[in-house]
Amino acid sequence: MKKKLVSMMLVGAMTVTAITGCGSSGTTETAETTEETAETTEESAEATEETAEATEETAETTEAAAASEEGSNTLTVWAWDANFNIPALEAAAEDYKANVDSTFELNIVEQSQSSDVEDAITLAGSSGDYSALPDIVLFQDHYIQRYVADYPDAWNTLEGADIDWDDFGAEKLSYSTIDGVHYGVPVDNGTAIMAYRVDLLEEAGYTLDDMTGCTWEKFIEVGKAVYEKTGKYLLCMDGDGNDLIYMMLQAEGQSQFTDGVPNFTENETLKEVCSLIVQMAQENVLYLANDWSDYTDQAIQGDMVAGVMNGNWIIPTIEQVSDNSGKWEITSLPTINGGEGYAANGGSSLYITSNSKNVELAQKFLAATFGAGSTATYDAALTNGGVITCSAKAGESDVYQQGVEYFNNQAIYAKIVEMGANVPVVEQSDYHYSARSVLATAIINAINGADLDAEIEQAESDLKFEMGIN
Amino acid sequence: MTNTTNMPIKRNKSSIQRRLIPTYIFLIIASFLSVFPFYWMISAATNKTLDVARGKLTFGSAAGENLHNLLANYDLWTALGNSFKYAIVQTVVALFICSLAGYGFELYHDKYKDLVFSILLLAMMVPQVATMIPLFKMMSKMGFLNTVWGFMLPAISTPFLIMMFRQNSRNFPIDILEAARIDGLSEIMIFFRMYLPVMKATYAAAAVITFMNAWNSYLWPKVVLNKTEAQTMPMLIANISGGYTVDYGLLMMGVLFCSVPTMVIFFILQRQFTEGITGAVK
Repeated sequence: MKKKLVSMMLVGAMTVTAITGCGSSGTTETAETTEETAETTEESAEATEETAEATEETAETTEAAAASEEGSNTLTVWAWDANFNIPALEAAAEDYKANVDSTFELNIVEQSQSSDVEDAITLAGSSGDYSALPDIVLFQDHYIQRYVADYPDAWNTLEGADIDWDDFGAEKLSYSTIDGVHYGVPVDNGTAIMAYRVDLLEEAGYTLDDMTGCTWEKFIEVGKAVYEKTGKYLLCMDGDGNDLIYMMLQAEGQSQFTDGVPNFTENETLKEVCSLIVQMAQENVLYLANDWSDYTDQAIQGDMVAGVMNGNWIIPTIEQVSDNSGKWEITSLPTINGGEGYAANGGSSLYITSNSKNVELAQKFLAATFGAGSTATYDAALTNGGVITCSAKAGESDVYQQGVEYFNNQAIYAKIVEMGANVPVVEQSDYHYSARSVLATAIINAINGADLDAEIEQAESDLKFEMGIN
Repeated sequence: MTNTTNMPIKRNKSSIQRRLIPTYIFLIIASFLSVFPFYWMISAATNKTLDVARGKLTFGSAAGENLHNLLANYDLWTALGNSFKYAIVQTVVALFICSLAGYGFELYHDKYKDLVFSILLLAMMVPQVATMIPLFKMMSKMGFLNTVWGFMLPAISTPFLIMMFRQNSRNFPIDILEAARIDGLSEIMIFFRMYLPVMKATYAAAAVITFMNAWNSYLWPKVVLNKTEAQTMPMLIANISGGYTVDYGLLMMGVLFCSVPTMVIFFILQRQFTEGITGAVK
């Protein structure tokens, strides 16, 4: 009887596990959980801070566990995404080996996602033990300012590195420059693209030229026609992590923040952007996916859409559907009053940690490769990983001028670099993702019938509460 | 005549069967829910990413391609080898230490032992994340980062295992112990020669639990193992599933490699596992 009972309980437990297992999904969710864990760790860290300080001296004397040893010709770097950032780093290592120092070695340690690096910095910073950090880390642009502010001892600046900073887009550098000091070297270019299925546009009676520099009003009109004729949505986005708001606002030259404080209710442009999104979703112009994997796997790869607007890193996802080769083209974003809109979303840069024993070598390496010392790095990064530079000089190389077959032989890379130079610099905040999250909720509630103004007001007060502002 | 005697028995049988119908329905649903993810994992490992994303559930022909890509792009064998090494060492050491503790707690007498045991149980109440940073500092100071020691030291003595061994030791016949003492066997040899063989089922259950925990652990290894050469299977899987575009076929092939060892171990020790959990002694 006892055995029977235990067996029944085991079966029950397995069922529950199976059900909860089915429920979890998406990288965003995992990322959030990791973030939460990181926060919990942070809290507990405070308690142990005193002990940390006491033992700090011993920490400094212990040997570095991860970063390369002094005087050696090897650098260790942490990065994520085997199909994107890692080929770019491999390209840089090859470039440096071929053109500067043939004995150089780059040891790339792959991380599962950007939050792994963030968690490692949190752990090192909270414990006061930086010895596990590598020489260089890849870090998400939107988070770096917060991490430099919270853990200033974890970083080395790029002061003295031989890099022509004017060569990079001002918007991209605005993330990695803190109080006028350069901390990071840009890797990819987060410039937003508006990609259209030109064949479907034509079916509805429009061309790419009609869409370039059009107003959102016109976009909605075309979107309705496209949905009616082809059954596909002209726009799609992850409804959970809705980046449309940020990109549409940036294209208007506006931010969700003013002087570090959320500016939602007084911001007429933000309100208009939100109401446009709600309207688009209600009129079948926009497909708001449930989560990230629904967005990439069902909406884009499942061929449900005629248009995609996001950072250009979305291109490899679009290209997964080989049947649609030659049918896509890209252009700039629509704006509220017409005229071409430019925005950026996502992207990362490389930072030297305080644990590096070879700061000089790390600076030299970064300057000679991603600092556009030679264009070979960016050429190979583009060919092997689809990583697009935000260096104007690297963007002039031949590789960038070539047409891409999938995009109807349009020279999309040169186009993206060109668009990148026009992205307006808007105020950034450490609470970028929190703002995205509260506004995404407001929009979903409004689509389901709630009053948009009231929802935006609620979103602002939720965010202020999170930030500790009254 | 025969009819009348047989009738009640038949009715009895069918009424028992009828009573079992809801149980069977429940069990069928439960087994379907448990087995379906495994089926889906295997079928997805044979399909291309696009087919997986589109919800194809039948077997495809891309298994070879997925396997080839997995081996070409990721260091599967190193990760698999590491996982085996860490999990086996941790299981052996944890079983030895915890069973010795459980044995001592139950079969030796001391007036403070319950107090010590309560303190031990208190340790169970402290969440793992709270001890993460101090543990990391300790491992870092001792130079155990990226080693099997760093991986297993925090997990070799778990209150859960000690408690399990202590509970199950209650069924250990005290007569054996006394007989062995009279025959002049030393205390440690009593543990090895008498206790260990008798408690085989408990060891099997504890081995399955510890091995699975060690094999599946992710957060702690992520903290102490930060070299590619030291990474484990769950870390490799996490790397495959990261990034802007995920290759689901390849991912599922990796997951398959990660799940098979635990499944095999469970199936081998299945009978002992149930016996061990229920506290049987042979």
